[in-house]
Amino acid sequence: MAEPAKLELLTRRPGEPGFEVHEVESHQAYLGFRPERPPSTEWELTPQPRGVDGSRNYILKSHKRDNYLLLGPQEYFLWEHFDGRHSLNEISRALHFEFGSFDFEIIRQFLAKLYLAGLLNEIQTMGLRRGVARRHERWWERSFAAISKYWSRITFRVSHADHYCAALYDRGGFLLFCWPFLLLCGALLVGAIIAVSRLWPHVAEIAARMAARPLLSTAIMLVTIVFVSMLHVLVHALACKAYGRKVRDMGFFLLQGLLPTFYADVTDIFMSSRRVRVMVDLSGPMVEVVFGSVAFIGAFGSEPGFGQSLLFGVGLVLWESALLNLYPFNFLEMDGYNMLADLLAMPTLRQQALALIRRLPHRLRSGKIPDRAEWIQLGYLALCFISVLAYLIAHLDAFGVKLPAWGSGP
Amino acid sequence: MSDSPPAAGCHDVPVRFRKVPSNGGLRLTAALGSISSHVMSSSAPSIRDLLHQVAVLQDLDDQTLSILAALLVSKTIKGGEVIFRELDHSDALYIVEQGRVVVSKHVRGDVDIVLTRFNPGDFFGEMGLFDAAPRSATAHAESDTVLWQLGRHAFEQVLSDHPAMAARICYRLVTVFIQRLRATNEQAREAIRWGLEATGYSPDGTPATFGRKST
Repeated sequence: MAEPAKLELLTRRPGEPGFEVHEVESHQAYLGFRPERPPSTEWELTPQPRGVDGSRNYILKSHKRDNYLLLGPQEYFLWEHFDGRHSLNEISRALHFEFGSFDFEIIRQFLAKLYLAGLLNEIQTMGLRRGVARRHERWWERSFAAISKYWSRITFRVSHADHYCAALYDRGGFLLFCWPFLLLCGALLVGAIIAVSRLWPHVAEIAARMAARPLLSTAIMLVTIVFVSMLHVLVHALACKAYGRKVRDMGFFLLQGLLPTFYADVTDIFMSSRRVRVMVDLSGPMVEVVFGSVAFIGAFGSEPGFGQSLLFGVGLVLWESALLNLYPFNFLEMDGYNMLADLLAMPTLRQQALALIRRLPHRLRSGKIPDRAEWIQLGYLALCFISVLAYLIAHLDAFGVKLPAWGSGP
Repeated sequence: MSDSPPAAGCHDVPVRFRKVPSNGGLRLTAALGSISSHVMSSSAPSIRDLLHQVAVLQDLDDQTLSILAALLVSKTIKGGEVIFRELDHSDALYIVEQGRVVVSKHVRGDVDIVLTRFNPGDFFGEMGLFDAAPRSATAHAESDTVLWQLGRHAFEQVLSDHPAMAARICYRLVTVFIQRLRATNEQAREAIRWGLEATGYSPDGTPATFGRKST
């Protein structure tokens, strides 16, 4: 570790000749540092439902930067003590008495989070330090960062998304969240199930007609998926407006830095209840369900031909898309995962689970048994792994891989 | 200098410090209040030896140095005394013959930040030769100190009467300015590092803010 930075200060006493020279190291000043949160008009704190271990998280919103921070119990304790009167020395002692042993790094990381969110006096030199830190990266890290940079250029965001969403909601978007519309959706779903059950015996013929014109079928499918994906995130955003919360951002990005997709940033719903969050999560996949249902009913009402096959195929793809979106165990933070995280009151379940994997060998060696929350994280990881493996095996034929015929004799 | 604990209430954190007491008045008194001066003989070999050590005068021969030495004024300052204060009238460069000088800049109240120190053979206050703006920092004698002062008028005389000598001095001065600018940049970097560390900011991984992007 580098030597702590030092400052030399020269002080004089009033009315006395001479001076004194003091050398102050940064870590000495750090212990005496008295962090002070800004006035309450600049932030908002919302308690979240208690988790399985009985602890409570909080969402801290910075009005100044429009940032959100998830505070664990220890961070909430620190936030409460960052009143400008207590030094870090005193706060760390209080934290120790409250929670027992703790890692001092929690305080350091929390301060950094607050700086980033504009919830402590800002340090203007962060960019400089990041620049210095970057120089020490390895070549492959730099290469990966460069590739990510170019890949991420396909992303875009819509400015003033909240303004547009509010206008759209006021000009008819609110109708999507009325009971009559929900009943209509239910009726469409029932009709689609009946249509599918009637068409299913002819599915081989339907598929064959589609396969006869593969390029046209694929193009129409892709256009439909893109269009419905856009509507999907728009409905998420409108649902957010329906509950009076702000849409921070909308656009196109790489989910988990990998999967290109449209998005609506609805973080502001964390300032509402868990029920509201689940409703917002659920609203998006309903688009695929409704459009898929309409396609199935359309296919049922059509004469056998390419049009009917196409409608059936579109319906199938949209329903599968809704199912994948609602399935929580696929390592991706899609709507199903969000609902699971909300229901478990573990908003960072995936990150916690992945972090646990790194710690697990050490934990097991030291004979420490995972607690209830950690068992849930491990269960989530196991189900994700099994699900992805099952999905790959089920689709191996698409990659031209033939599985051996199990059970058949030589 | 002696080591002793800081005054109670001065600082919240433990610090290492040196106390520099004032030893009373100056030996001689002259134009600058408690500072005294006397013109030295240009033939004094000790001055020429000293001037040879000064970075800006390295290119000058003995004869030229003798001319310059005739323009210098000696000052003796007791440890703890102020040589010049920040915002004072600025009109001279000083060469340190003996002792040590600490230069500081006011931060707040009775607290200054130490910018640099000068030892025998070093010079300071060079801005005063070119710029009539007030002093940018305060210079204290950290121990009993003997200085040689080159006033702005004397330097202007060198510029007009000995342009070749002035050019060599100015060239060296520019080199020293560059070195000091680099040192200032380093000091700014160190001060920023201090601020970052003292307030807990860590550059190791930018912590992510919380958010939900519905897809």
